Amino acid sequence: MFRIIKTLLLASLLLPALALSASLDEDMASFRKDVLEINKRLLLMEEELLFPADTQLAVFVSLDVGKYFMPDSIELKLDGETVDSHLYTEREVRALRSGAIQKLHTTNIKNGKHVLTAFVTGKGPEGRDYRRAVSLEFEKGSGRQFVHFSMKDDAAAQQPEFRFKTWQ
Amino acid sequence: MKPAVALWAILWAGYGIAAEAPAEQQTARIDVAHQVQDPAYGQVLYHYYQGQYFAAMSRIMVALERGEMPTQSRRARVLLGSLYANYGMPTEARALFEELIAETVSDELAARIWLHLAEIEYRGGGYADALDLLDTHLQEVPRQVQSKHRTLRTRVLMKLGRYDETAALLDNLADQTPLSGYLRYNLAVSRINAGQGDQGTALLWQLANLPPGDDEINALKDKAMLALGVHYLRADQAQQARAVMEAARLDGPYSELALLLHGRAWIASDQPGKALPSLLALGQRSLQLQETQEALLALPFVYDQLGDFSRAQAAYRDAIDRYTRHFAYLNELQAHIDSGAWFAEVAPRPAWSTSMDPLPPFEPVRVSSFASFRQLFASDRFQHYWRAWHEQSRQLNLLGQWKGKLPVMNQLLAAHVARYRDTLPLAEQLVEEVAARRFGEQLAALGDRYDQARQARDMEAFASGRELVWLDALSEAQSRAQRWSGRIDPELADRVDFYQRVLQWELSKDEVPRFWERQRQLAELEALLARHGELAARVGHAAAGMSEGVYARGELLANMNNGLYQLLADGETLQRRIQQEIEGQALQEIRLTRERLRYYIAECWAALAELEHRAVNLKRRYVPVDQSEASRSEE
Repeated sequence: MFRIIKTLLLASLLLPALALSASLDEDMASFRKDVLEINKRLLLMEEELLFPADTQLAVFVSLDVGKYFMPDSIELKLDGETVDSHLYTEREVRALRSGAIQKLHTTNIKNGKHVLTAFVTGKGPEGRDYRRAVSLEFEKGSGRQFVHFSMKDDAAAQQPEFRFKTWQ
Repeated sequence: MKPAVALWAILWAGYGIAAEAPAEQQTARIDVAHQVQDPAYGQVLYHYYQGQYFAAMSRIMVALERGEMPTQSRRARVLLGSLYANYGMPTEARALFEELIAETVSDELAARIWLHLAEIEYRGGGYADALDLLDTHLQEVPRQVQSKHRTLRTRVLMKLGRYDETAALLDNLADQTPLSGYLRYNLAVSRINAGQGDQGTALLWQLANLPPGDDEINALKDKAMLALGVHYLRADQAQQARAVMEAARLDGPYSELALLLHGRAWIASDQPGKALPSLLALGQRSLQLQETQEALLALPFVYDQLGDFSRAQAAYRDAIDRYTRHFAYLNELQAHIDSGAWFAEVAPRPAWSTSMDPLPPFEPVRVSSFASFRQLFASDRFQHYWRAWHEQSRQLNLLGQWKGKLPVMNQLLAAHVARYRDTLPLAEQLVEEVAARRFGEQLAALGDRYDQARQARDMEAFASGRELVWLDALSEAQSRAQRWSGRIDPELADRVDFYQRVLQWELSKDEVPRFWERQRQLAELEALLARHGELAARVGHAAAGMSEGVYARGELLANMNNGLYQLLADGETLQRRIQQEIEGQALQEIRLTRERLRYYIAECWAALAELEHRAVNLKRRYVPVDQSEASRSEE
């Protein structure tokens, strides 16, 4: 009896793991590959259909360093109308501070002059509430129009700096 | 996979990024903030940093297809490869890395890629090949990847059973990290199992003597203590086992095993009385726990050792009774599994808010059968398929969303076709009308006139509208003066002549600005004409390629529609297979428990019989004096 108890209880810590099912794993990998491929093709097709290259406007947001400003929210107005708003989570702010870029908004606009305004709120220097509006007047030509809204630290002024940049 | 190891596996993916330019080499790791040049690459990072790995992969694939990363595509491809590898797609990862390595890449990037390739080999069980890759291609390891290289080499050597080299490498790893702790623990267990007990216990003692840390470190310390206890008991070193178990924590995540080993250590030291408290405490716990099942068998043995036969007998009967009743529970549990209800508890369908959500966390405690499957839930195999099921669920959810969107996409495509069909004839007509006006020829004639007028200094050609009126009026006056030369006052004729000269002088005075102005107007017309040419070409291109493009898109959409439905059907089948795999693991656990309980019951009956036999013998040996005398007188 003593021997039996001893043998049984010692087994639990030092057992090797069971092997995984190779065939099931291969099928899962193959399925994932197919899903990724069709997802890519559908994403491309959807964007082509929803936002054709001639009329597309895409707005990107970035945060450089973020010592003097931590965004809480952003509201985007195009030609006086609110087109998008976003509340930032901690994870998103962390991602932005690490150099990531957020694609905030994509829409269709006609060629010609437009005004884009971004209203940002957040915590400014020394944790004070901070609110700022920045506008950009731009002329949409043929082809895709990209606008980049960057929130940067101005070390000299110890203040955040907000800027728009456009390219096609 | 242990939580710490899983975490490291994810972080490992982040080390796949290396610089293409020397300036980037300082910040080549993706988990460190670095310069982003291509917005598309920045978007990839936006998903990646939030743990949305599937979204990151999709974004990289779209951006690569569109050529949206002119400067950072190589970084993105390395990230894609490492994400493939972590996503259970080693073949795709290997193909991508081999493609990258064939290109001209920096030494550091090459080192990272070789590390990834070796990691893929390692995960696939090709330990010798993994070591070969590391030793052949990474003889000089760049500083930035030295730590990763050492870690991987340690794991590979351990798997190959080259324990001395593993130990030497482990000594060079930074201490106090959970990963180095787990590696040491694994090495210790491997050495003990390979018959190298002294070396194994030395490593376990290193872990057990670590200063108290966070929950993970403390759990590792507990585990090392328990492994030491198990080893000493196995090696019949009861005194050491008792010393270890007296120092071990009897609470915490491994409390049941600690209590059982504690009791066992005292039994092995021939002091069964001291084993009783921990065994009794364990006996009060759920019979779902393997340790409780074993304690129920050990308890009567202890009573027997203490000479308390009646308690031993009662404990054996109690154990048999409880084991037998547990069979009923196991039957219910099996029925629960067969009905699919158990799986629904273990893997409830997550409420996805978007198709790109990360996987939900595993919360086993909410499962009523948690105690029965505690070891199963902690196993690599279970965790692997549990994650796979959720990943499958996410993908089916994604496909379902696309399925919902397809009719809208078809409508959008039809709207595009209709718009083209309506607009194109109008545009063609407009282009034809403009072409009929021969603006090109007109502009060429204007250009010739400008050249001739400038050469001949014909300033009338550069006169403004008002000046032209004056010139006409003067010319008219002059011709009338000539016609009526005899009748008009000569002074008037001179005055007309004078005014004409003044006007000529006015025209000539600023001839250069007038030439420039005309030249500018001609250039503007030329630009307008060029723009018209572009528009006409686009309309022509649209007219020529529209039907083809529309049909191609329509065909593509129809193919994707079919592909999507097929994938959904395949995906659901695959998900059922994963569920069956997990349920199969649980049923196997139940089968093993039943076998174990049958074995315990048989042992209990055997021990009980032996106990009763001994009791009868004792009774016979100590027959009362009166009875023996009476029997003798009868003789």
